[in-house]
Amino acid sequence: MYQVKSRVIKNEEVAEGYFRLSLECPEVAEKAGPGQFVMLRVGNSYDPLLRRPFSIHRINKWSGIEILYKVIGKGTGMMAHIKAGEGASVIGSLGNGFSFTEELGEALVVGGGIGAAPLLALAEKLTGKGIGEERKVIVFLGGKSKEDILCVEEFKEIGAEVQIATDDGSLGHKGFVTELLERYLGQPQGTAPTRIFSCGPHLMSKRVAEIAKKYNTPCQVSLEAHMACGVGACLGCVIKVKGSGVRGQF
Amino acid sequence: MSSESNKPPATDHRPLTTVTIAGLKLKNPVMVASGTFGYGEEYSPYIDLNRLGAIVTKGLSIKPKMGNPTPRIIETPSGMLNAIGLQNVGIDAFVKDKLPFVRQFDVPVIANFFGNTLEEYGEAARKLSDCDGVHALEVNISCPNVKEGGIVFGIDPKAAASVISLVRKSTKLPVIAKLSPNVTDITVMARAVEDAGADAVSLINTLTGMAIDVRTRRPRLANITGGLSGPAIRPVAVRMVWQVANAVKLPIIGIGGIMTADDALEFIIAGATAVQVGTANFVNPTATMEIIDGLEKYLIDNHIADIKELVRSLNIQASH
Ligand SMILES: Cc1cc2nc3c(=O)[nH]c(=O)nc-3n(C[C@H](O)[C@H](O)[C@H](O)COP(=O)(O)OP(=O)(O)OC[C@H]3O[C@@H](n4cnc5c(N)ncnc54)[C@H](O)[C@@H]3O)c2cc1C
Ligand SMILES: Cc1cc2nc3c(=O)[nH]c(=O)nc-3n(C[C@H](O)[C@H](O)[C@H](O)COP(=O)(O)O)c2cc1C
Ligand code: FES
Repeated sequence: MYQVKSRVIKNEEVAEGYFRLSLECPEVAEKAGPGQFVMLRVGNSYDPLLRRPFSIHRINKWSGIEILYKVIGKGTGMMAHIKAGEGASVIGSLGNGFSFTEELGEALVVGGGIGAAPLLALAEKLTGKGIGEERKVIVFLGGKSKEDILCVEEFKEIGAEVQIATDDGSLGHKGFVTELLERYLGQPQGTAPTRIFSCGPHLMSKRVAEIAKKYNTPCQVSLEAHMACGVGACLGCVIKVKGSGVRGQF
Repeated sequence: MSSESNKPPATDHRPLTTVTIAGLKLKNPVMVASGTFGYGEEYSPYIDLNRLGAIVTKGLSIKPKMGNPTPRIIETPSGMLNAIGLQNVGIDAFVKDKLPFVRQFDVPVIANFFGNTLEEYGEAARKLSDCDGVHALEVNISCPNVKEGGIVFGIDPKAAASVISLVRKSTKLPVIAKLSPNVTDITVMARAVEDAGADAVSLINTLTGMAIDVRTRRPRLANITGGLSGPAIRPVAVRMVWQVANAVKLPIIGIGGIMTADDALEFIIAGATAVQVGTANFVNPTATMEIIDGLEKYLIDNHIADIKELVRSLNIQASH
């Protein structure tokens, strides 16, 4: 875990209201794993005062990390204006992250809206980019409308299968992404050890956990909370965890 | 004419930054505030704990406490509201699992604690005094986020005095009374705990506040109200330290929105012998280190040999 002054390599709008920020921070990248997050601060203002938490979207081991973010308020609004060459303070990498073992044969990755952000780093690791492992990775992406379906090309490029659902039916299945997951699990299954990974809004995560339980499939959910420190010092971000097989990010 | 080069060399030696609070010697006046630094280990990857004046622990109680429902934290202009609800592992687990880590460092540990009843304050003080590695007690009579304990003792001078005199009788360690700003006249509280035998006072704890989401008309904290901290409260805190400095002889530990060395200096000049840094740790984990360096630089630049010369040095002569 480090606190580093990193340099912005690139900050580009990838879809309306969504940006991808590349940061030069090799120290952080070297230790980072999928599902972990960083606490970010741009500028020195006291308003906003606190750092903002962002999942690690992509890890480039020797150079840095990427963040995929949605502009929703003050902090992300400021981030949208930051330019290549400028500085950003990064604390990371933090949190438990996703974990899986070598034997995992099939990964079902579920993302809702901006929840897709950490799933690319995860899918890159799952598809064993560069190592040539054989593992089936299906990414289920959900969102309000087609604009909220992120990174489809990136997921496909690394060899993952992508299934899409939107609330308004503007892309893929009309309905919830969890319906796609349930439909898939309802089909006759092979014997390969399967695990579900998910990140998205609370209601989606809850539904994913229920489905996982119903189909007796291990599952890891990444959850969000209001945070101040990100390191476990303020006890602001606790999340009540019920049942088994579900693990918070923190 | 260049005045810079004509000045005599600042000092031959490094200026003195050591201060003594109630017999406890600190290598510098910069501590970390309770509840903002976990139990010490959380920030150890980011800073050298040996350099701190002291570490103040998260508020401890006899039994572990779960704390409040979430959201517990919300940002406000230049500040934050928290309603953690004094979640802590309890004194036994603290001594067994947390204290051994901080004990490895050359830094005094001040145990912050609270009780739900008067008797619990006494029992907690005894328990904490028995363990090796706790150097002073900070009595939280001022947390705004729990109904049973804390604040009722913190806003009534008689109740505050009874807590402090019981704690005083229950320990040989220095006793620091942490005062609430949520009172009409903080000097009344300061005098009450001075008379009851406190060795020092620390102030301020958070100011009670609340924030509302106007779209849903719901409170933004699950607890409805919370404690305001950060730069937003600094002017209030500096004013209270100055008032208390004029009212009591006890050493004062100034707290509230300290982000930089200049902020810490405001408190020291107003009357504080030492300071605590809270919310700033979240924003910038190395804030304390930068403040320690900044204080030393200020002393050198201003040819001050000993930081103690600055304490209560407010100049209120009319300026020309
Ligand atoms: C572990 C973690 C990982 C995250 N990863 C990402 C990511 O990869 N990409 C991304 O775009 N976002 C991510 N977020 C959410 C992101 O931190 C918030 O969107 C950001 O802090 C908003 O800052 P802001 O100043 O723009 O909004 P603000 O002005 O602070 O808030 C705007 C509105 O959003 C609400 N809000 C702010 N933060 C949160 C939150 N954490 N949960 C619920 N409501 C909130 C506020 O109450 C307010 O109503 C993550 C959050 C956590 C805790
Ligand atoms: C998240 C959080 C938790 C806190 N917990 C405690 C506590 O357990 N006991 C206590 O005496 N003060 C507690 N405080 C108050 C701080 O120690 C400090 O008095 C206050 O935050 C003002 O300082 P600051 O503006 O530098 O943060 C807490 C403050 C925050 C922000
Ligand atoms: S944000 Fe989780 S403990 Fe501070």
